[in-house]
Amino acid sequence: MFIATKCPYSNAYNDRMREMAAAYEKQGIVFAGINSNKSEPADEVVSHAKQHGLAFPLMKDPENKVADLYDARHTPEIFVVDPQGKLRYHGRIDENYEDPAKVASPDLKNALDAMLVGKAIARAETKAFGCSIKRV
Amino acid sequence: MAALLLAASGSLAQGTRLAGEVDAGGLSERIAREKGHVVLVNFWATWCVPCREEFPDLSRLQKAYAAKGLRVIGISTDLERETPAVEKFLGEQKPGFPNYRKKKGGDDQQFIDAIDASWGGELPFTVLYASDGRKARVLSGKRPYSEYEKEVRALLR
Repeated sequence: MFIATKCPYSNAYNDRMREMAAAYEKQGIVFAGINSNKSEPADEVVSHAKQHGLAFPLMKDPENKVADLYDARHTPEIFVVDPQGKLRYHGRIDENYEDPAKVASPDLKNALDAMLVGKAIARAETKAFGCSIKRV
Repeated sequence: MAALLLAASGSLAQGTRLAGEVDAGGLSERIAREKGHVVLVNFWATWCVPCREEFPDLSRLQKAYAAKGLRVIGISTDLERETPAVEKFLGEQKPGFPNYRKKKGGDDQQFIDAIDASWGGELPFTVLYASDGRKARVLSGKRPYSEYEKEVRALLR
């Protein structure tokens, strides 16, 4: 998950990321956050995670090499990779950044649930607005 | 009453108020109305720092190239409830070009895909249309004034 400390769109998903990470960890899915913004140093990433209870592994991508590798463009942006290293899902967490109670299309959850039962992912590529990754 | 109307139209002319709401179809029609001009459409939001940073450059571009045939149109992707913040920002910026808010409702993915298939939803995002109405160039993320100027000049030739 390419995430940010200052992006309101990314921050709107802090609770959802934290809750999904905890729920899916029990089913063998590892969530990891990557911060590739040059404007957000590692100490800020750590304090932001503590403030929002983000307990999943977080990595700083200081020269946005990981973002370049994935062609990640904004935050939050999700890539789901299976144990064979194959990209299975790319896109948003859901379609409603404004109100988690009114989500109509929980795309990441649908993708993970499909993977867990060995089904094809109905929507493997989704889009939403987000903050551009500030590259070096 | 007339004075009020004049004040309102002046605000719109300077772009200090939202000119309305558009969906992808409405934007397409709005661009078509500018046929014969090069059109630069910039998608932005008040919460997007690089969008705010590059906004004065777009005003500068509009002022420098309007007489040569450039039309800049801004599309705020802010939520409806953020309208006061949008209009406060426009009031401060006095962009000199019209700004619309993306129409409320619908899945943002449909809007994003309708604008350009290569667009992932990152902001800012800019699309340049040639004077014959064809989409000529897309620019992802914040760009320097010099790059916008180069792209616009190439299309104005």
